[in-house]
Amino acid sequence: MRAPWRLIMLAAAIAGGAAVPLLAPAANAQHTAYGPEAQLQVHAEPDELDAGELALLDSDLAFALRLHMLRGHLAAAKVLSSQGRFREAAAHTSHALHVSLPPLEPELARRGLPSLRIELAEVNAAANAEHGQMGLLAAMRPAEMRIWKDYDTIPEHRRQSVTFSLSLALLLFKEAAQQYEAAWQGVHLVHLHEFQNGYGFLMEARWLLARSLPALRKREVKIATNIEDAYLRLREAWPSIDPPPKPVMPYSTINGLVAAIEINANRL
Amino acid sequence: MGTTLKAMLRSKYGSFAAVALFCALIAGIGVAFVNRATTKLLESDAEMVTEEWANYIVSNVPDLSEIAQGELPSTESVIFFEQARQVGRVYDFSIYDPDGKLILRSKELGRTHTFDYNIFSNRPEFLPARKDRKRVIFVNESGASSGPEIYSDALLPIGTQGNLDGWLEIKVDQTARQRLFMSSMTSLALIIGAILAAGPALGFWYRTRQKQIAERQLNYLSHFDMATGLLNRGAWLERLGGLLAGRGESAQRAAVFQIDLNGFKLATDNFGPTAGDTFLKEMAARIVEEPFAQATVARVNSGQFAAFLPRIADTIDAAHMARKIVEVLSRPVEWEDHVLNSPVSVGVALIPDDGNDASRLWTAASIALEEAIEAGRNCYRFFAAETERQTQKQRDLEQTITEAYERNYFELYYQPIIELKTKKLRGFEALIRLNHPEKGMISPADFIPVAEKTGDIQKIGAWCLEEACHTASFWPPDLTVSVNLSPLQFNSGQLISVLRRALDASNFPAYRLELEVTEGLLLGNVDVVKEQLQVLRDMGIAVSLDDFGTGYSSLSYLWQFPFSKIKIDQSFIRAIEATPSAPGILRTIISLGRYLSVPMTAEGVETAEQARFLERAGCQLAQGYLFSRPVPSTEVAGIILKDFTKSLSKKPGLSKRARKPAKLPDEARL
Repeated sequence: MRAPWRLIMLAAAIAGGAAVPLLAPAANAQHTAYGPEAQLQVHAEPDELDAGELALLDSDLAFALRLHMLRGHLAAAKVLSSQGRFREAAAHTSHALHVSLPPLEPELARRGLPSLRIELAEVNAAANAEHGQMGLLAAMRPAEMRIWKDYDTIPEHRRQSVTFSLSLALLLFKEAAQQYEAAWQGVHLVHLHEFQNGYGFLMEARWLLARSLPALRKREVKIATNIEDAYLRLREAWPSIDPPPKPVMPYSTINGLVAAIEINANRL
Repeated sequence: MGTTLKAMLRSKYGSFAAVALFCALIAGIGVAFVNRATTKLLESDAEMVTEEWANYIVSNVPDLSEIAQGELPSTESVIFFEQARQVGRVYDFSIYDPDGKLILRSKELGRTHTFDYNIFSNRPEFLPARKDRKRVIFVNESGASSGPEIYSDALLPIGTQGNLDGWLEIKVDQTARQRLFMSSMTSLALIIGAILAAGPALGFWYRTRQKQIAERQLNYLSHFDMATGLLNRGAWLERLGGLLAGRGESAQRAAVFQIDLNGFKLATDNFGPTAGDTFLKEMAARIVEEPFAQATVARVNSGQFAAFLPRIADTIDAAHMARKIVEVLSRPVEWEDHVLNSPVSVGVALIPDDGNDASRLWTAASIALEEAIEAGRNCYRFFAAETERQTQKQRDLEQTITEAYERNYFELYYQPIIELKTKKLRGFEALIRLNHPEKGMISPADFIPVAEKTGDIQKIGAWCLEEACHTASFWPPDLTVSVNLSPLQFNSGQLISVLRRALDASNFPAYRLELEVTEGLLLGNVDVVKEQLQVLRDMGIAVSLDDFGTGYSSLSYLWQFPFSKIKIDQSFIRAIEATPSAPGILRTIISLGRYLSVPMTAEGVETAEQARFLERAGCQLAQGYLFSRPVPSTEVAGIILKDFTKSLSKKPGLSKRARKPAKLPDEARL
């Protein structure tokens, strides 16, 4: 039951090994207002997740993680469109279509599923056309339905597993932490898009915790409480889709909270 | 081996190799020092960092012992771990239970940050057996592709009140520190190495530098004259050769000058070397400044300079230059309270007229200079082919004289001296001849002046004396032999010893030897000559004044010097029949001798008339072709025999039949 977690750790370790920061940055200790220079940027990443890391993951877990990350981008777009910020929303729909989808497509094909390209293209088109929130929501609905439909290809017992959900949540927390680190440079916000990505991933992780924590609480109250507490503190770093004037907590604290969740989850 | 090493060190590259070896040794020590010092510093740094970090964790993580016991860490503790790890240089840490089983491990390996929580692991990692509770810190190189290159690993016991609750392993990234320490130690080692190497390197540099200076000085000395800073003879000739080669067949006239300053010797002799040097320097400066600003000038001998003027218009231009040299250099030089003057002589050789190569031009200018010196003060002479021929002839003659002496080509001829009144033989004058097997008979008038010039006259004169004494020792005891002396022999200071040797060697009595000297001798130091003449007289040797009547013919000589005979020059004798006044003068000279009681000998008597006149005038002795030409020693015996026979026939009471020749002493030997 605990072996997959070790696999995740190992995969993560191997994936990031080449870029070990030998001396960890200490700048997160200071907090000042972030400047207006923070711009919306979409990074042209070939893949958000490291291929080596994913290769060592359970295929269902990796598949689910990619679907949740896709949903995270769409969630961020949805929040932004609700505020009428279609241009920013379009950056996330575009990211979902052009960055998140391509590495997912082989797995979709392997599972005999059609591509999500048409649905995501419509979402992106709606965001770029600025047809209003309703227009975007209408475009998102088929995409979300397709995502859940694809999600259903994962065996039921796994989807219902607390450990599976916690594993996914932990991976999303780690991705959010990465996005947080990239968004802030010292006390300055340098990448708004990354901050918003982290927000979307955190929403998805919250959804997973909401599914798993009640069952966990029945078995391991302390662990569940610890994870819940850690999540709640972690959420303070993303008070909304918009970044605060200065970082709420340093990256090391984000990392420590994720580590606390991991340690507790590993206890299972 | 030691000798070989010494030889190597003394060789051209030996010193360099030794210094290089020393530097390599220093470098090796330096590398070892850097590595050792860096390791020590890293260990020290690791200890400090580890201790600080451990103290920080121990004092800020209240549940550390519980974690080591297997309890779940609080969220605050985990956050603290992560914060502490990120703000410090600790990149990995682990917590083990007291038995060494891994409880918790942090991993900071890039994108994904995780903690291992292995308390329920099926394959727990164990710390190597460490029950001694001693902390362990070591610096290690990471063999893994990930992680730091250099890290320190510290294992610290966790416990309260003497209990071991677990172990805290801390790994510190030392890569940056290692580089910092390495560069610092390398700099330090380089500085120390530089200081250590500086001594031998400086020594090597100094020796090399001194050698270069010495070579430069040697080169300077081999090319330049120290006193004047001008080129020396060798370098000048070399440069002249180069300049002439550069001219090729150019028709442009050039000139070589040789300048002689006798004043240098005078200044040195009279006032010391400093005066001589001052004089030379001044002369060199004048030469370079005024007449020869465009010339290549050298000091070629003690008081001689040479110059090559690459461009002159014609002979007039060269003569103008020579006059200018004489004018400039003949100006006096002031030295202290003295004025130094020098006669200036200049020899000029023209290019291409007198030659086109350095050696030829040097010779030509030298010949011209010699002529200028002979011509007197402040003269210049151009090289003339006739002069060269004369010079060459003289040099040939010099060689002939040397050769003749070595191969015994000299001969003595003897001319009889007759008593006019009795017609009896009184002696012979020895006359030297040079009979060269290839060049034939060479006149004394040609070779004697040359021998006097070269100094060969001393040994030739000595040979004459020895030979004459030896030959005459076989003659009848009443016959004398006259030998001509050069004034140089007289002034050499060795004449007496030479005479003694000649007389002793042949056992020849001194009273039978006559030395003939000319007036030239008497022009020297009168007192010294008188003294020497007196010594000769005391030895019993007669001294004749030769060639009287020519030259100064100072009458004072006759009473100042104790001459035994006076020989009247043959020019007076030849004039007896041709010049009306000659007989009168001759009678006067002869009367003078008679009044001074000095016998007179007439030279060059060729006719009976001359003999009769001289006899009537009272001249006692005569020699000349009338009586006999000079004959080789082999013919002397015949003359003596003839004279002896004649004297017998004139003796009263002896019939012609009875007039057998008396036995001459040592006749057989003759």
